[in-house]
Amino acid sequence: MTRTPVPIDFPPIRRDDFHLYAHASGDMNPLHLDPAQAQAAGLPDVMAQGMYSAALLAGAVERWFGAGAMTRYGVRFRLPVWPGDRLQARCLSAMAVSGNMADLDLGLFNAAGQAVLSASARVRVEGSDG
Amino acid sequence: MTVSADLGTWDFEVTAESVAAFRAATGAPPDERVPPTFTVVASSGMIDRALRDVLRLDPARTVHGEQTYDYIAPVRIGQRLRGSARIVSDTMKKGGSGMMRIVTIAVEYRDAASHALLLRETTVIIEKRGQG
Repeated sequence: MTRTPVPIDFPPIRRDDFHLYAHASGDMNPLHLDPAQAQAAGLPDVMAQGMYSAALLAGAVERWFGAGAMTRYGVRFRLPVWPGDRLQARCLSAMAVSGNMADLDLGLFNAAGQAVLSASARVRVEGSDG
Repeated sequence: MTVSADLGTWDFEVTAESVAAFRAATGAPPDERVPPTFTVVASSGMIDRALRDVLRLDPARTVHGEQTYDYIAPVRIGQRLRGSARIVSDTMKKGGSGMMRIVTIAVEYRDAASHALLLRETTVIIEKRGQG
């Protein structure tokens, strides 16, 4: 059994984050950038790129287990992320599998406690000193 | 329907600038290592083109449902990657508000020596409102 790491809180999500991510990733979908187009599509506001949220959670796994630790990462997009949301990355369980590998059950949660992303990962766990 | 439609190959260079921009945009501290989801930079345009030109879908009407990665070997700054994409499944499923079409596109990245580095699968959902 591997210890579960402490949750990581992210600063409140800003519209600027979606623009920065759009330019860095190439995902220029206007539903993430233009409030008028988002509202025309029936949304209350622009929403985060799903892969932006996936990158936040992946970054949390790297902070917990080290860069390059993941050998698998799978994400299910469950709810939109809106400007102002406060997100928390949680590792819900960490189960040692074979050798120095562990399987993680992960989630990215909003302030209402809803999982906006659920995810799983397999990581290499180096040493035993945590 | 399960299909295996080849969507072609393309080359992509992992530059220090693009990795630094991606890290900054996702709140990651500066580091020369390539973040786990970085290859979205090389893939998102290809996937949008596949949705639009091959599957005749409006990318703005598709919902990104799932994303998976298998990391085989590290992707490093300075590498030239060759991506290849294919449609691995295209199925219809009954959902809460009608029929849904679910499409999965797999992308594989190899290095210049043709060693596999990374596999990623993108699953998108298209709701068919009012259609049986």
